[in-house]
Amino acid sequence: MLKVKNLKASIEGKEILKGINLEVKPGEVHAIMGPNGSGKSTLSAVLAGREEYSVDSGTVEFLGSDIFDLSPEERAREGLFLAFQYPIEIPGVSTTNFMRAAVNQIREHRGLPKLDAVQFLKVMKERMKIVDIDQALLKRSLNEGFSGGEKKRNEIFQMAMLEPKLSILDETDSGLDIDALKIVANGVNTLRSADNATIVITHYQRLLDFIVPDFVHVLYNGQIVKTGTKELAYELEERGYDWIKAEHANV
Amino acid sequence: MEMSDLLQRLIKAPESDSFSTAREAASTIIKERGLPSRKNEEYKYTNLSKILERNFGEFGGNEESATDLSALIPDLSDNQLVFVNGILSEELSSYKLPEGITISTIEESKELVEQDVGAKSDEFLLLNTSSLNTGITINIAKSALIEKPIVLIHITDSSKNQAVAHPRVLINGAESAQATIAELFIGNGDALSFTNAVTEINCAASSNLSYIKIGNENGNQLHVGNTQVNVAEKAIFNAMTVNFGGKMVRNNLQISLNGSHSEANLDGLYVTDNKEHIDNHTVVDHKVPNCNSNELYKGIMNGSSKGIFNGKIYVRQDAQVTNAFQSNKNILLSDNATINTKPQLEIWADDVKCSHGCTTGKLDKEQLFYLRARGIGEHSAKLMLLDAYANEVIERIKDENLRTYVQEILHTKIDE
Repeated sequence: MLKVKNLKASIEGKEILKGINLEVKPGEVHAIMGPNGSGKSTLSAVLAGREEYSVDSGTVEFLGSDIFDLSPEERAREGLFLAFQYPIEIPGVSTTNFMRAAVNQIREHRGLPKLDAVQFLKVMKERMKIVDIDQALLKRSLNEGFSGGEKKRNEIFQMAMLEPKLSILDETDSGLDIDALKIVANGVNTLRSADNATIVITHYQRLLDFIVPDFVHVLYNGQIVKTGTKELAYELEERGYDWIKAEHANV
Repeated sequence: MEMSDLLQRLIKAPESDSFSTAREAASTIIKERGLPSRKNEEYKYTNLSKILERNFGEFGGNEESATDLSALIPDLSDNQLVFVNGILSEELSSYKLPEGITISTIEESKELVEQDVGAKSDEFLLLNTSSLNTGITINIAKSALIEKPIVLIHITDSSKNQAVAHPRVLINGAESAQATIAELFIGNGDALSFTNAVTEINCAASSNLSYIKIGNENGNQLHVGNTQVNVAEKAIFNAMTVNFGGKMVRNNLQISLNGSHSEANLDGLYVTDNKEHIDNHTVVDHKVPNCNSNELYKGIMNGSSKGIFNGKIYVRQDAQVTNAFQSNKNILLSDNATINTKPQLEIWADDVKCSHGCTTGKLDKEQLFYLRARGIGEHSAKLMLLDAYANEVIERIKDENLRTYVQEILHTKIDE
């Protein structure tokens, strides 16, 4: 589904990603862990199509096509979803209207008829249950004045609405209390299937108790320096990142 | 062209009637002063005189239009008064005035007109008075509650010749009256035209009047509007000024809070493109204690258009316990668009809460990316953000017909 080969990317002349290799297949959950500043968020930003990063070399194939030929909206329509670490507030645009526009533009892209207001509401009510989000919240301006937990739940709600093939959860656990974390994780697990895949970017192992990964990668200094199974996450939790840093001090 | 020749052509007055005194007085002053040039601080950025001097030849009379004007008239209310080049057209108007509203010529208020003529009066107001024909007065009776808006539609028709119009409107809201009056300015024809409107509004004690000015003029139109408002005690006055274009537009909105516990709300939206030039000058004069004013003007500017916002707030020495807030926000969609924004606060009283702020920026990149990352195309994402931005102002139009009309113009304009 996703093939990243020797990806190098920089921002304002500073190289952040220094040769990333990663392959994600349908049905898999990959966790990408690493200390602050290792390039985790840059990787998700580059995959989602943020324009301020420049891709210096390497390739990324998503569902068979070169991802860099696609605009951010085209990537989303093809089935890529980024759950933002810091969801953006948009005054004056309600989550409901925003989602209706998004769902219908994606459906149009996929050759499906648009949903009318009634059909859309029905789907929305169904998906709201997955993350236990209130309809009143969805009528309000997008993320404006939402609590941290509400914003993250709204991200997973959007994921449920858009039915992506590949979801990237960028530090979705940051700032969540344990109850909110469980709701979010439960939402993600409900949406898991043999056809879609998930990349969980996180600093801590905690989230991985609830979203169990098939693979754990350690990102350090712009490269994946270690790959293992969920046990690697426990090891990182216990020993911290210093031993990784020590092992790769000269990278 | 010499200023004196220009004024000769701009002043379109009938031979004599009950306004002759005011007209003569006004034209004497304006002929002495001339129209404001760049040197006039108030018109520094908006040099209408230059355009008028360079481009205006002979104006046509009120000839019959080359096109069917009725096709231009939107259906906004049961009560629509249509003016062509400043003159009421019975044929194009349609109204069945509700109880509590009367309409007459301005003649019965000629003392008011005479009061406006002074050495310090705005030059364009004087020019309007110099050309005063009949004008129109709308009286809203004591305690009348008028639900649907009264809509005045001004068409400046330059389909046969260059045109000049001097519409004059007087609105009197009696004690405890409630009503909404809207004025829509549009144009017809390709020749240059100049609309020089004056609207005076008197809000009696405890009245609640809303005034909506919609400018949707074409690239051949020059426009100056002087709107002067007096607000008595416990009255609430809401002004909404929306502009979607014109070659050069200047709105002077002047509100005097003359009675205590009165309130003025001023909202504005201007959406410009190409070489359009829109200038909003507002004055809120707090003369007495315990009054509030809130002002929000927002701009969206594209092409090489130009916006000007100048907001004056005066808080006189007697005006203790005043709350006065002002905000001007701008989005520039192109590198060639410009905005000059200037708040001017002059405060003599000491128990005052007063604030002002202005922001100018581009469309928020983070917001745009967030929408696109959900599959919404760049163009529709931009429209969605601009629509939300403008709606903060437009949603304050309570009447659904008018609000929808304004939203539709907005969508057409930002979708270009």
